[in-house]
Amino acid sequence: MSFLAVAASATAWAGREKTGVLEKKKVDGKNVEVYSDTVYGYSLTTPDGWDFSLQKEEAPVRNALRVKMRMKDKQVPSQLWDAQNLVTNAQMYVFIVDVDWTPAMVRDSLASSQFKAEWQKPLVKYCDLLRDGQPLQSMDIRWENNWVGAGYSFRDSTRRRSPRVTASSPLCRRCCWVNSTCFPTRVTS
Amino acid sequence: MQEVLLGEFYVFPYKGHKLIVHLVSEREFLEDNRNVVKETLYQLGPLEP
Repeated sequence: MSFLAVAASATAWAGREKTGVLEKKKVDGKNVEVYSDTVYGYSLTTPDGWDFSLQKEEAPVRNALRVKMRMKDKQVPSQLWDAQNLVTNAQMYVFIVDVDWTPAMVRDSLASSQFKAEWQKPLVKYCDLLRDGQPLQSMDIRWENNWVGAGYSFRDSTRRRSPRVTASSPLCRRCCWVNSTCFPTRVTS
Repeated sequence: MQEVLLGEFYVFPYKGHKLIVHLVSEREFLEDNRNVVKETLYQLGPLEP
């Protein structure tokens, strides 16, 4: 009985833990944040203009999403200058999963609509594009520093359809990207 | 319709696990943001082959 109580409290406590710690440091005269993962031991420094968002562990298992980074400012594409509310800040999600496959196999299974596995659930949960996007193309990645991996591109298949712009809509003055048929009617006023 | 929001994920072996980075970016800035991913991951040092 007491064992069960101890186990239950340990599980509840684990659920409140963060995946890592953030420290503010000064590097080359710049203020940066350094994320250190408490389980896997690696550290990452914030890219310039980005910030970290710590995640909570998900008792009784570790959270596969270790840390999330978000660009502080929006990068507004030229087509969207008049519709900045449609712009998403760039984001980076760092996951660690335990799966004994090659990177290419992981890539292909994530891009497959047929294959579903337990380890994919956290990725699908946090990444809208994996759930709603349309796969574009796979790639083998060979970067310097011995980085060899596998990647896959997705495009958003839902978000940019939503404005439902017609040729008479005010958005059409600049947002012809939404509906190519309105291009000839572009208004410059 | 022109799709402008893109996501990419990158999978690498890391200390017996798989490290997966998912990047979400506007298409126009994808290359810049891909470089940010690269520089961020390089902080982890060389990986297993």
